[in-house]
Amino acid sequence: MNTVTRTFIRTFTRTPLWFALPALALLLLQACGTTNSSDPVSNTESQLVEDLAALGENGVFTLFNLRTGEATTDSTSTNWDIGFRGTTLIFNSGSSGPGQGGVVLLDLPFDDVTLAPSEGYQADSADNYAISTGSGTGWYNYTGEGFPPFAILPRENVTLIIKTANGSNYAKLEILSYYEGNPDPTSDEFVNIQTRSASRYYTFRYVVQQTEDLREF
Amino acid sequence: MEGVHVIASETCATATDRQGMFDLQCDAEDLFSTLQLSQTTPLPVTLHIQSLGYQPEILQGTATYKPGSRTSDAGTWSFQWNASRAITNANLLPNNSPTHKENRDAQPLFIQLRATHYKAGTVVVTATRTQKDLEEVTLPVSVITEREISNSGSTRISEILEEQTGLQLTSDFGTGIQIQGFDADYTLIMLDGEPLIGRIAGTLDLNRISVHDIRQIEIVKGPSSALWGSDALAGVINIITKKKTDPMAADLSVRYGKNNAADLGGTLHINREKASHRLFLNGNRSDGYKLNSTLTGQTVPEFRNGTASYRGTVQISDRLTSTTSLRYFREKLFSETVLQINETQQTEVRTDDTQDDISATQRFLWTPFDQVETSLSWYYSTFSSESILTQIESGEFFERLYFRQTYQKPELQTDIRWSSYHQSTVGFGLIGETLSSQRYPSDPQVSTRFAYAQQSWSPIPGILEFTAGLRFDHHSDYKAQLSPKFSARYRISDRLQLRASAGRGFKAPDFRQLFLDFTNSTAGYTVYGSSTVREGLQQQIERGLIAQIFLAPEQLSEIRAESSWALNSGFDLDITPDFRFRTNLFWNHVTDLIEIAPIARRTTGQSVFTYFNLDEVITRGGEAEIRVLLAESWTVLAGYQFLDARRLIETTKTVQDDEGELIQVTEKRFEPMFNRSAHTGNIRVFYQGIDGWKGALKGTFRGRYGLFDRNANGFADQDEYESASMIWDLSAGKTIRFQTPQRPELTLRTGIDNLLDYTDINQPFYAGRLWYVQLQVRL
Repeated sequence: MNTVTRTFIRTFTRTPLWFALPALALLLLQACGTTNSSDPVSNTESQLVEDLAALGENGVFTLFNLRTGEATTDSTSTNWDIGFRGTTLIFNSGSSGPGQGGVVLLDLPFDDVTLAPSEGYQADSADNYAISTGSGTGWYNYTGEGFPPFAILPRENVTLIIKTANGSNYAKLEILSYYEGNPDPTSDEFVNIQTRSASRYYTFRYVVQQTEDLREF
Repeated sequence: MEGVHVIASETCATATDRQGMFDLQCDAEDLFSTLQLSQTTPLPVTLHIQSLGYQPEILQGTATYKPGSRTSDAGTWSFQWNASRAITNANLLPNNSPTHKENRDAQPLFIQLRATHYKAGTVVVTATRTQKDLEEVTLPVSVITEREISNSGSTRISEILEEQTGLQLTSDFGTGIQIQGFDADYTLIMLDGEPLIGRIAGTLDLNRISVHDIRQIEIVKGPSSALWGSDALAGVINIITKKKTDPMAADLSVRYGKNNAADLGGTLHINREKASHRLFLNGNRSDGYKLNSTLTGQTVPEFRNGTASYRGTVQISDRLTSTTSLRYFREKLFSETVLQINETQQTEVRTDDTQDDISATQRFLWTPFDQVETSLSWYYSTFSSESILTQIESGEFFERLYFRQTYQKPELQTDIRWSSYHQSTVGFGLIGETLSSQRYPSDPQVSTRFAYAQQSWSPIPGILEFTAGLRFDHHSDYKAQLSPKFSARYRISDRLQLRASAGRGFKAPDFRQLFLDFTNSTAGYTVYGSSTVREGLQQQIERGLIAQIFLAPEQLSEIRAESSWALNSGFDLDITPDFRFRTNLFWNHVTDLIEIAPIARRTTGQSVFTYFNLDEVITRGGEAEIRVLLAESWTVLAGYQFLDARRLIETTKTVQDDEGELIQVTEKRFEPMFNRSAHTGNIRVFYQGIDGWKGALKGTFRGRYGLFDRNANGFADQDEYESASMIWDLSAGKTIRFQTPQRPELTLRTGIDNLLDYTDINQPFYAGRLWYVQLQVRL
């Protein structure tokens, strides 16, 4: 198995103050001025994962824990949130795992999503994956004989909102590339199938809210 | 000149006899009011003189009545005509008569008619199903004349169509034509008024038709289903073959060019008193060419084809003619491709394609009275295609694909010319079609019964005309169609004529959409036609292959033809007699476009598909053309089309409300379609000197167009456009005429197509720079 290179931009940044203003204002209104010392504090973490191999040898999914940023292969645990095998994605609940996770596919740009929905999360079932495996309906488009030919390209302005396996953390995730080295799909090297880098290598970015039950990003 | 219509003051009319004479008898009471008749001052009279192929003449004149000297003598009318440009003698002195009649007498009125802007006598049949002067049709019709065809050096009609304003070549299982933004399947292609069959994936390959024995190509834009039925949604292209009157005529043409492209064709005409025969033979070949060196196989494969056609006309009696037409076309193509056998294995195969196209027409033309013409015809055509695939490495047989289609159409049409004001056309017939192919296990048969009627009304003959038509098509496998059409033209002045039309067009679901029964054994999906889906799905359910049904087969509504409403309007303006400006605006709204969509999911996870009426398209735009004759020898044509073609895109998106909760938003927008250029144009300069030298320079411009849907959103985004292109063709030649009684002609021509060597893998019909030499002999 190829080595997985990961780059962490693990900057435990606090959400900028203005970001939380609407939520704060709402809280203030609801609380009618009373202060609540146990208000959860937002703790988001932005990460870029490069070239996560999802070769699917022997049908095995590459499982990834968004909370820790680590990959695993044991699907029976709640130690993973999202799994990759070829173009297929799985999430830790339903037919795929023992967890309380789920996923929502939002037709919104990554940066525009500031709040995870409270409900509507889909779980994998025996008949259907929560994220459809077809071109144009799930996370990618297949170009067929078009340009660049026979390529799997992530759909634009699509963001996955993931509920983690413990059922209480939320993450937003955007897949950037399906090819090793995150190549520019319009480059000559990529357009020519002979020189194109290997597929089934995911590059994606995500933001996870480490504070449980808080839906803000 | 015979058959020239002469109408006085729009109320009384006659036509010239064989000697070109006319005798117009009118009652004075018809021409003038009682009040006018009581006066002795000159009264205004107008004479309209019109004939096919000539500019109508309008004579303004005055009539003065001199009472007779005796009471029994009714007096004398004297006429004075304003001598306009074409009138050499404009005096008419009728004699007196007791009933106040005009009479041709003392001095005849000489009238010389001027030919209209196009070549004199350009008569078209496609617009109205009757012979009609190009200048007098109510629809936007353009004509490519024999002279233009022979001057272009082209061998196949696709080459000549590509140069025309508003026509764009497309490449999809053959070379087709895009009109007003519609794909090739939406234009009806006819040869002498009978539809050509053998469309592959909707495209009728225009390279199948040689230009050699063509007299003219008529192009009607806008829907003409009211006359021609299915497929005439974007327009109609009718290819009219040559007719000669000489006792004997023959021509021969040889052409050779790059890629070993050779063409040899000849026509023989024999005309006897009661019978005439025409025989045409053509052979055409090319090595093909390759535009992309990295792929296996050629862009355009090596091919050779041959055409043989015969037409015989026998005059059975003065009023009955029989015409028999036969045509045979065969083409062989040789290509090499890489085939994917399954996910890991691929193999190189050689494909030998053979296409055979046979058609036969028997037509009787009966003229029981001068004003009535009845045509009884039987058209039979068959198209077959066979592909034999052989593995190159092992030489083993791989696969045989076949396809055979037959088409039969008996039809009866009657035209009645009631008067100069009214003309009717009625007709009915039956179409039977069969198909056999490995993808259609049922060997489907379909039939259509149709009837149509058309009425033309000219309140002011030559000036104002209205035409209304209606056609009914009853088909065995889809909903019946009623196609109306209204059109009008108004000649405002000698120089300006307006046209407008509104009508409906339709395209029948094709065999694939009706009868397909295809399971892809490697991928595991199934596609059914609308007539095979119920039974097919039921069988799969019984065999336990279906996991989920999205739409119960009994809930499926009967499939409808794709149909449109369209408006066309434009004008012809003769800025000078040698400078014409012509324009047409169009708007088409198409609904019920047939698309493939899943109806069920198999246990394997793959889908079962069938065809639904789903899509909606609007195309609109306008075209303008100028045609200038310069100093007898030069003709300059320039054309431009603006096109805005949009498809209805319905998207359901999952987005968030203010609280972050999920909401579904459905958006309906009309978005740009692929392979449509907003701007296209052409410029063509022809030289034809009296010394026999001739030349042509032609430029065809294609503006940027959406090429491929990279993000699969169904429409052309700004970054999905291919850049504009311009193709230049140049040719020069010399004609030598021999001074023997037969006046034979010899023309030697050489030319370069695609002078600047433009190539684009997405437009395979542009082969790169090509040279050729051509020799034509006319006896």
